[in-house]
Amino acid sequence: MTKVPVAAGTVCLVVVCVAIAAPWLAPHDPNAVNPLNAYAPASAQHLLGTDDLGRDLLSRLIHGARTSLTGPLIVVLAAGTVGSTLAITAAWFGGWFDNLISRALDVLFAFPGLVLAITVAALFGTGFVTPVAALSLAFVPVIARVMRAAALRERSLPYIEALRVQGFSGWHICLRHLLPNLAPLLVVQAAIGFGYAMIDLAAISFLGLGLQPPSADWGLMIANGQPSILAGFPQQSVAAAVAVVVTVVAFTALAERLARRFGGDLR
Amino acid sequence: MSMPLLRFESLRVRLGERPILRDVTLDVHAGEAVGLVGESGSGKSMTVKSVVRQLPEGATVAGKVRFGGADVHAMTAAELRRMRSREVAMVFQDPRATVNPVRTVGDFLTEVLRDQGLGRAEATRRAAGLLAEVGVDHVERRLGQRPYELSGGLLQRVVIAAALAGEPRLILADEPTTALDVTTQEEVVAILNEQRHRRSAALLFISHDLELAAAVCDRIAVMYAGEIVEILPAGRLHSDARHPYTRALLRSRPGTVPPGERLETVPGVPQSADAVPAGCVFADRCPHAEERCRSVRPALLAIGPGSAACHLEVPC
Amino acid sequence: MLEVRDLRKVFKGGFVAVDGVSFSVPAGGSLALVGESGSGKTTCARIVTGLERATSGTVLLNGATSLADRRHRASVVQMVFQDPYQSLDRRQTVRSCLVEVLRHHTALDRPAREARAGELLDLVGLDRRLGEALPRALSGGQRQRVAIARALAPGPKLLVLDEAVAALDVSIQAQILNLLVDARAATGVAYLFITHDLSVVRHVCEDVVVMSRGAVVESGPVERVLTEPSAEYTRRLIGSVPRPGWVPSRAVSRG
Repeated sequence: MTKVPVAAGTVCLVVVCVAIAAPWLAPHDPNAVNPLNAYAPASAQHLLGTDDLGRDLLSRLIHGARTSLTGPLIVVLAAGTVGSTLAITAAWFGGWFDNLISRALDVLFAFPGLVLAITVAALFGTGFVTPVAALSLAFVPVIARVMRAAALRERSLPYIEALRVQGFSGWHICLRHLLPNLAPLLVVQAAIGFGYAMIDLAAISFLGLGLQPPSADWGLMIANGQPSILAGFPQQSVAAAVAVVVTVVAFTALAERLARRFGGDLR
Repeated sequence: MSMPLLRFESLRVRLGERPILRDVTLDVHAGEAVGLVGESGSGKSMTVKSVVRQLPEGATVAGKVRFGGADVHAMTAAELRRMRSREVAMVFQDPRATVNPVRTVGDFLTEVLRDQGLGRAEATRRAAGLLAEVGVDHVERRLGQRPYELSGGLLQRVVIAAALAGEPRLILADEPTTALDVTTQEEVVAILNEQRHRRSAALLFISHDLELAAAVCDRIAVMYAGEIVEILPAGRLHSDARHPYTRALLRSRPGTVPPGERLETVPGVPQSADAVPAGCVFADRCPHAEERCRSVRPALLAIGPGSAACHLEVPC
Repeated sequence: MLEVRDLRKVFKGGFVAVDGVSFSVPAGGSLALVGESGSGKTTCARIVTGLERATSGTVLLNGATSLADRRHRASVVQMVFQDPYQSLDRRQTVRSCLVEVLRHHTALDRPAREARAGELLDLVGLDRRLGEALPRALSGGQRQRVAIARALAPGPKLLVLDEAVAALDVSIQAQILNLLVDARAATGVAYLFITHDLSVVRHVCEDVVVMSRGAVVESGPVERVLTEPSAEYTRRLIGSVPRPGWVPSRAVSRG
């Protein structure tokens, strides 16, 4: 039972450390082209071999962890902040304000996140910022809905009334009491969202609407590795795909474990 | 004395490693009403659940519960089902949790009767009769109503009517009036009492309120930390209670002392069965505790008109 | 101290919860609002503490009508809730709960606040070591002591106790009732005691208002109302309290 979360936690930690220490860990410059050494097989010098331009795959994978992790991280941070702010204010004030916010979120929720991000990227240009911003927007209702339901439940507990009788302001109660009590749920939501955001961003990169070559990014690497598969050298796509899948699974497993851990606490 | 209808023979229940019931020995005779009184965590609900084998998952049972001579925990599924549906009826604290909220009162009542092989028309007629017996007015209209249309007191009467429908030999009532207002409580308790006498069914009545239990029952068993510490006739509760815990309970009711005087309190908090000392379960909170109270566990022995588990002959 | 005149509260949908209720609590006095569910007693309490707004009628606290400022109102009126398990923030230690209130309501500096929190714990009979405990480590009675300490922290003139002992075990109830008697003697705070339990009323209160279906049925000194009730409803209420020799009857039937 406890093996899965420990393994998942370890994987997450390793991936994060790799991303942070990429420049020191990577054995080669990820963008150093060497056409004479294209499609080199795995060797002591190139642990995972090289790609069609002779770049070291391991180094690209290690550097790719940076953009592949920061993208989803920004998405969940932004969506988490905006989503929980909307959720708590809606639950706190209730009435027409709550209705307005809830309906607006419903409308936003109706757009599939990925489609929204692709549309925005197609309209406003590719790169890192646009898809991340669009995806953040798409994730706001996902987080806000869950948080609003929890905030409503929390707000109805007598201790909130007790605080109101104490004369504390709504600000104080929301920031010092409501938010800390909802924080575990927010962390769980963010961790789940992280996995989804990572897949979505990889998909956007894969479609060529995200980061552009020669950036080292896992989604982009999968896409760029496509022609090589036909040439009989699947390493690049496979390595990047494995990195995405392992990371997403690890984060989701960890989120699930956290959800179960905090589950009793939230009820 | 005849064979008791229900007998707990040093029943012990553990939930995992935690003891819930440490030693419950009690007889309930046919037609007799016994009140099981105690504070939260004393194990009174568990005692009742063990009768119909509805203990939580992971509970291990030692000792025996005999109903009509048969060991409940050795019954086959068919025997158990028969006992639950025909011989033992239960009334719980919250009637809303007992009744299916989307079905009518009539459906709820006739379900029990139809299960006994009655035709639809006959079942409806009987259901109406039962409702009238428990003091429900406008019976015809009530049969078509749904639970949310009835007050808690009325709904609890419906639950009692359903419990009586099977002509049970034993009624288990777990705090049946705790969720009700006092005036409603009086009516519901009066009805329960009256119907029990009329049908000469036995009653095991759980309550945290000693006075209430004493008004409804023939005998009172006081539970503490998974043990029965005292059993005595309800009428002798005030005059003959021996156990320091029973007496503390009686004296801690705010109505018992003149206004302005201090209430007698028991220091500390009610203990659960897994945190009790080696000796007497009440030793840690008892004002009279002596050395042997902490080391030797007192047995439940006959004293005066009842029995008590206490080493001390504390004067009344 | 507290003067409530002709209070009326109509909820959305036209339900009249409180209809023309008047009562008053003298400084340092103790008044019980007694009634069954639906009598409107809790709504009265919530209006007095500002959790609910009256449809009409006046609430005078210390002779002043407008207590719009929540902090000021809270320094005059405090409340203890029924459910000791949910009226404390589960992530806050006992001490931090008290210190937070003291910081909000007093000009004390940090060491003085800590000292005052300790005194409050002493006042409600809680071991000072429990200051570092989270609510889940405490029993129901201990939590209710914390709730009382928190309510007394701003030094209020009136404490509203909404069924504050109803959820507690009998032996614990007695401890808390004694504590309430002591706390009133020590601080001179007045009580507005909301309860359905007449025996509790007799023990803690001097005056009583009996309510039924949103209106006052009878009021007066506890001694008089409980021994010589003039209203039929009060008689019924008194008659249905289990006591030695009590025989429950179903004579009282209602539709």
